[in-house]
Amino acid sequence: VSGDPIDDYLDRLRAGLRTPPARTAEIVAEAEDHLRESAAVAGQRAQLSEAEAQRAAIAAFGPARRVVRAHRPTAAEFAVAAAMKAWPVLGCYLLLTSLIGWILYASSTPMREKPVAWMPRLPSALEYGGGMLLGAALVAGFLVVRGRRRRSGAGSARLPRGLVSWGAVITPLALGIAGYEKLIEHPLVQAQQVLAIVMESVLAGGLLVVGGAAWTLVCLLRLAVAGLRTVATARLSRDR
Amino acid sequence: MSKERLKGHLDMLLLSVLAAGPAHGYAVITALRARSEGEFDLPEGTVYPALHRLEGAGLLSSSWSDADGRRRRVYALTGKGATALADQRTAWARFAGGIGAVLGWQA
Repeated sequence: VSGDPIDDYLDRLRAGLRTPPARTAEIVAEAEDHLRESAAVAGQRAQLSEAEAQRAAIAAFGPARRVVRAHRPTAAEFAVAAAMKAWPVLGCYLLLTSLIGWILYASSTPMREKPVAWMPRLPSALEYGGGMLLGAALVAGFLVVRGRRRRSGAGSARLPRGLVSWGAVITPLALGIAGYEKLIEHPLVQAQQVLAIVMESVLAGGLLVVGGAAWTLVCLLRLAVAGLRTVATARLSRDR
Repeated sequence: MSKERLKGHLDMLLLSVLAAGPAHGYAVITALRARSEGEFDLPEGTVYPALHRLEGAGLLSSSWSDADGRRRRVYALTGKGATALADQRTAWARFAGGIGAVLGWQA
């Protein structure tokens, strides 16, 4: 809490908006211009104190929750945001599972053989290579599109809280059900095959978690460096 | 007037206010309230999404400037907006005339 009612209101507004960052900044800037002018007019007209005038301006503007609801992103914006979240995950997942599958395939002779006559053959090194290429292309494509969107100031709408974690729960569940149905369909599937699929997924998931942890560490280090720079700048200006 | 009923006509009212000349959000809302003699009194913060929607539809354009050390967004009616406003005015006049005739109002 800053002690300035308008600043506190704008903080609530900023925290509640699920719009792309550039648009959020514009909405907040526009709201601040409105509220400051409205408070100035109310203060002059009704001889109110600054805090009272600010509170009157906020009351006329409407509760932050209601304004947030009015700025709710459209279904199309949500779809783009969801696609931008799913795209890199799918690319990384495909790249890693193909890479790990190829390593397992290359290092294990029995996996290269067709275990049961009626069964479809296991993916070949070429198919794993194709998966890796497709995964790499997806990741590269995502980086290009994200860069372009950032430069144009478009960004993506922020998804509602909990949607990403729900997706993280539902996706493996759906994959698990699909895998289970596959087992029912082909009850003679060899354990080795299932083990290979499970290992690919587990190792890929593990690598994604390690990657995420490393990225979080980098972000924390950046924050720490930025904080130290701010303190040093403040000390310099105070000394002057 | 019911806020829900007003929302159905908000776009036309905003275009009409901006037909008088470019203005920033606060001025648009103040003019809307003054011209309706206080009848149209929506929560001010909920008017901005309508302005953004009209801009997205190409009926308004906006530009940013500095005012009292703050960033200010000024809206202006586009040619497409002027045409849409004329169409909406005609439709509204016809609709209001029909209602008035049924209610027995004299023109």
